[in-house]
Amino acid sequence: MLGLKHSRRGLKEPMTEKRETYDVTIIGGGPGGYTAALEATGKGMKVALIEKERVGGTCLNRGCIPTQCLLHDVMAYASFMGYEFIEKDRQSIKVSLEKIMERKNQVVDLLVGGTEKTLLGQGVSIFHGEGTFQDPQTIAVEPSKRVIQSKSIVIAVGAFSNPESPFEIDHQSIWDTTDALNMKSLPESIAIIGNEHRVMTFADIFHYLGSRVSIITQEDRVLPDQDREISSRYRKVLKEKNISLLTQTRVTHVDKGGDGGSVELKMETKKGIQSLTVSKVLVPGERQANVKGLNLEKIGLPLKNGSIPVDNQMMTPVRNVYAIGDAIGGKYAAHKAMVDGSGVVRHLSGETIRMNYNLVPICLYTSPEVASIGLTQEEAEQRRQDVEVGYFPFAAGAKPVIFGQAEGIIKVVFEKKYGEVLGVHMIGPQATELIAIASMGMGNELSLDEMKEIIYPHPSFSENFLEAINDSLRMMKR
Amino acid sequence: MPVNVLMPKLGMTMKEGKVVKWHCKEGQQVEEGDIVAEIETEKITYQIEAPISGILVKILIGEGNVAPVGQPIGIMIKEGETFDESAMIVPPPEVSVGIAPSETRIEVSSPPSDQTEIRITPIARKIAKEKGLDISKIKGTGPGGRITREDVLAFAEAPKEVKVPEKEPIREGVVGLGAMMQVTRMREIIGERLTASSRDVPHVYFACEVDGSGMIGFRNKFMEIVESTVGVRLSFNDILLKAVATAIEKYPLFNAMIEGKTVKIHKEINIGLAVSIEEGLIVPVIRRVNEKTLRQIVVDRENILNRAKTKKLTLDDLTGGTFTVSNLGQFNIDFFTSIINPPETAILSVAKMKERPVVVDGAVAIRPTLNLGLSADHRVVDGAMAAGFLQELQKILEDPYLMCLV
Repeated sequence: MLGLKHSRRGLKEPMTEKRETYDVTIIGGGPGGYTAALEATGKGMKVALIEKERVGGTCLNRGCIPTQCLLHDVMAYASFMGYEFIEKDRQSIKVSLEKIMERKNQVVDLLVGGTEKTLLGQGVSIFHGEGTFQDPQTIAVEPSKRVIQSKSIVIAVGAFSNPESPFEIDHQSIWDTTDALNMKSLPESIAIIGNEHRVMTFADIFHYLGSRVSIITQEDRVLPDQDREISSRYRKVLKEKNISLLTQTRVTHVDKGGDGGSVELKMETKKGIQSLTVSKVLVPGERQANVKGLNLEKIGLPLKNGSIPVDNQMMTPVRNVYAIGDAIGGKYAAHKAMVDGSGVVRHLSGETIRMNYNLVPICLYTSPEVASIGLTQEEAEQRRQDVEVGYFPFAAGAKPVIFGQAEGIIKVVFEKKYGEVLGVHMIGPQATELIAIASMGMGNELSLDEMKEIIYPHPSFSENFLEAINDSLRMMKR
Repeated sequence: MPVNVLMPKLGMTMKEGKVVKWHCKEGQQVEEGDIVAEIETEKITYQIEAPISGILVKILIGEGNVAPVGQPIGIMIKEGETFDESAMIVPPPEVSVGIAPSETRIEVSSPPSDQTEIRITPIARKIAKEKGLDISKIKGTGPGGRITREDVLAFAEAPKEVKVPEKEPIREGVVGLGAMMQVTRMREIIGERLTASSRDVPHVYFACEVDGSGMIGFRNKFMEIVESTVGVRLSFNDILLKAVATAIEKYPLFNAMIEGKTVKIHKEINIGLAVSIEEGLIVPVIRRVNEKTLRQIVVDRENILNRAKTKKLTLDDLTGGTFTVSNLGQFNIDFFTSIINPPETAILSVAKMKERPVVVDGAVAIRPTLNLGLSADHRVVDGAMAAGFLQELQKILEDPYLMCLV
C-alpha cells in the first residue's frame, strides 16, 4: 500500500517539474562561463547559466579581484611611506586592515553585481543552484528542481584547491587563500607553500602589511615557468624585501601544538632536516577540476589528471558536451578561460576554431610586476634557429625614473631570420599592462619592423617597449 | 559593394554545377572562408567558401538547380552595407549546352588577384615572399580568415593537387550483418548516374572469347624494354587500352555521345579505366590513347592510378572520358557486363584470363582465354556495328602486333 502511494507520487513529479529548453547551457558563471554566455547571446542563442554561488567564479569572488584589491591598497601604503618628499611622522601612519578588507568586499560586490546585471541585460537566464547531469542534454538544478534541456552544454565549473600533503586546512592556523583574504588580524609570521603566482602575490600582501614571510617550495628556483633571467631577478627582489625563500624544501611534518597557536614545520632540505616556527601557514594548494555534484559518471565522462579532457574544439568525449577554463587544466588564468569561452561559442556557431595557448600572457601583480608571453629564451633556443634577444632596462626610461620605479627589464626573444618575436618577458613597473602591446603584436604576427613603426607616446612606460624593440633590431643586424 | 558567390570552375571540362545544399540562409552572417554551399559536378562534390565576411543577402540558385561555371549563385554584402535588390543586375542563367565557359563568364566584383586585399600577417607575408609562394592560393585560418605563419608553412609543405574525393566516414558501425550505414555522397552520385543510365540508355550486350596467348607473348616480349626505359611494368591494361583505341579508330561511333538529336563523335579518344577504391568506383581518364605510344600509355596509366590510390586525382583526371574499360581480371570471374558510363556510347567488361579447353585445328587444346563483354548504346550503334567492333578488338588482342600497323 505504501509502495503504491510512493510510486504514484513518483509518477506525478515530472508534471510539476519545470522543463526548459535552451541552445546552450553553461555550468559555472566564472570568467569562462560568463564570457561564453555573453558571446552566445550576442550570436542569437538562447542561453542558460547555472551558478551555485554568485556569478564571477573564483576570480571575482575569492581570487584575482579581491587579491589584487588588497595588493593595491597595501602597495599604495608602501609607496606613500616610501615617498621621501612627503614629510610624515611614521609612528602615526598605519594601514587599517579592517578598512582594506571592507573596501575589498565593496569592490567584489560591485563587480559581481555588475556582471550579473550585464548577463541578465543580455538575456541570459541565470539559474541559481547546483547543476547535475541527467543525460548529455539534460541538467537538473538542485535544489530548485528545475530541469534544463539543452542542445549543447558547456562545463565551466573552474577548479578547487587541493592542499598538498602533509597539510590539512583547518582555517585556524593552516589557511587556504580564502582564509587569508578574510583574515581579521595580521599574523606576525607566515609560511606560504608553493611557487606559483598566487604564492608570490600573498607573499607581497603579507610583507607590505608587516608580516615576516617565508616561501617554501620543492622547486629549485622561484617562478620556474618564467624566463631564467626574470626568475633570477625576482629572487633578488625577494631577498631585498627580506622574504625568505626556501627552495628544494619539502615540509614533512606539521606540529600545531606550539605556544600561542604557532605552527612548527619540519622540513627536508638540501642541508638536511630543518624546522621553522610560524604563526600561520598559507597553502594555496593544487588546482583540480571542480566537478563534484556534476554527476559526470552518469554521462560517462571521466577526468584525466584531475581535469576534464577536451579536443581542440573544446568538446569532451561526450558529444555536445564541452568544457572550458580551469576545469580543463592548462594555464590557470581567468583570461585563458575567457578565450576558451569565446572559442567554444565560435565553435557552436559553426566555426572551426584554433586555440592558441602559446600566446596566453602570464601576469604577476606584485611589486615589481612580472609579465610574460610566448617562449622563454631557453625554449626558443630549443625550438628555433638563430635566436637572439634584445633588452631595455627601466632604469634608462624617463617615466620609470620619474615614478621612482626604475628597477627591472624588458626582454624580447626573437628569431633573426624574419625578425619574428617569439617571446616577451618583463619585470618592472606596469609590466602587466605593457604585455598587452606584445600580445597584440605577437597575436597578429607583427615582426620587429612593424612593432617599431607604430608611435608610442612620450614620456610613457610603453615607449620602453619600443626601446626593447630597437635594441632587438640592432642585435638583428649584427 | 555586393560580392557574388560564384559557381567555381573545378576542371578544364567543367561547364556547369548543381547546387546541392546551401549551408546558410538568406540574411545569415558568415565569415570569409566559411562553407556557404555545396555543389556537385558529374564527378565530385565541392564546398564553396564565402568570398568575404559579411551577410549572404540573396540566394540566386536554389538547392537542386544547375548553374554554368562562373555564374553567381548567391550575393553577399559586407556588414553595414545595404543591398538594393532592384538595382541588381543578374545575368540570365545560361543553360544551353556547348557554349564555352569563356562566353558564359560574367564580370565579378571581387577579383581575388590583388594581393593588397588579401589579409595576411606581416611574418606570414615575409615567409611567403621568401619561399616564392602565391599568397592568393593560401587559405587563412587566423582571426577573420587572415593568413598566418602556420598557414604559409602548411601550404609550403602540402602537395599541390586538389584533393578529391574526400573520404566520408561510415557513421554507424562497420559493414556487417545488421549494420546501418550512411550513404556517402560518392555512393549517392554513383547510384544516381548509373540508375539514370540503366533507365535512359537502351543497352545492348555482346560477348566473345579471346585467346590470350598473343597478349601474353606480346607482353613478355616488351616487358623488359618498357620497364628498363620507363621503370614501370607493362600491364595487360596497357595493351587493352591501346587495342581499344585502335579498334575505335576503325569504329569511331564508339567514341560518340548523343546530344538530343545529334550524335557527336569526339576527336580525342580518352579512355576511362574503372578503378575500385575504398570509397567506391571512380573512372580516371587516360587521354588521347590513340596518339600515344605504348610506353607513354604505361607511364600515364601508372601515374593516374597512383593518384587515385593516394587520393590526389583532380577533376580533370576524372572527366572527359569517351569510352570506359572495366577490367576485373584479378577476380575469378568468367564473364560480366557493365552499365554504360554516360554520356559515353559503350563500355568494355574484361573478365579473368585462365586456361580453358578450346578447339584448335579440330583438336581440343589448352589455351589461356578471356571473355569480353561489350555494352553499347543502341541509339548510337546497331548490333552489326557492335559485333564488328568487338570482333576487331578480338582480332587485335589475339595478335597485338596488328596495333603497329595503324
